[in-house]
Amino acid sequence: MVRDKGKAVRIVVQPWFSCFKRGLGDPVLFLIDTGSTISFLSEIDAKRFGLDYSALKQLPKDKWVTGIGGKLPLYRITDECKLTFQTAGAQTQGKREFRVETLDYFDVVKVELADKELREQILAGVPSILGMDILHNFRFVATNDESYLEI
Amino acid sequence: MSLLAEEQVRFDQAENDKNFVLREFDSLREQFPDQYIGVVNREVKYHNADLDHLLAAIRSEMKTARGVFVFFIPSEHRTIAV
Repeated sequence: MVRDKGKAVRIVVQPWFSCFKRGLGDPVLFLIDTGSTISFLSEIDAKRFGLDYSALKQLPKDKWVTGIGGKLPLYRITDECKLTFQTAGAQTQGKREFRVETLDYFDVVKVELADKELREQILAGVPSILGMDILHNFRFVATNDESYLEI
Repeated sequence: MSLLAEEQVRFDQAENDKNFVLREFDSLREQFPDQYIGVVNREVKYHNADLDHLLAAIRSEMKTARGVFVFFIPSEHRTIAV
């Protein structure tokens, strides 16, 4: 668990995201967002994985991501996915503990906007999100000094 | 090296690359404003303002973009509207 220090506080975590059926597996940086009811992969991460949106199920509009700029469509990886969390400082402390969250599916956002310039701006600004659907399984602590998920 | 060991190495590498970006963020912002960067082993190996171009450059060398920490560096602080 890392919190970037300085002006803006953004609490991030980097579990291993995997979906064996789709051949996906690599660490993904998620922004912890207690204001989001759902978790999803960003389009940046989807592209990094080489995910083919046409092979995913598009969710109905009432399930899309709603933000200040409007709605963004969500697509669903309808196969089992896992998020593997590792204890912070495992490299230096030599003690590794893991927690695996197994999920029946995982959603992926797509920035579909006709305005190319606006699309580029939004694409760059929408990270992968860890929302309350997963966070509610953890004890999440955020104070002035530190932030962490207990695994 | 077993698959598990390889994944552990990759896990640690990603952690190091993330920490590198967070630690050097101000410097990276000066060097690569409004660009995507691709970090490997605490070094910015790729940078481009266009994500597709960045990923194409990575894949031309590494076949896959997995194993690369891809991050967008805004030129100014932004509020994420999600």
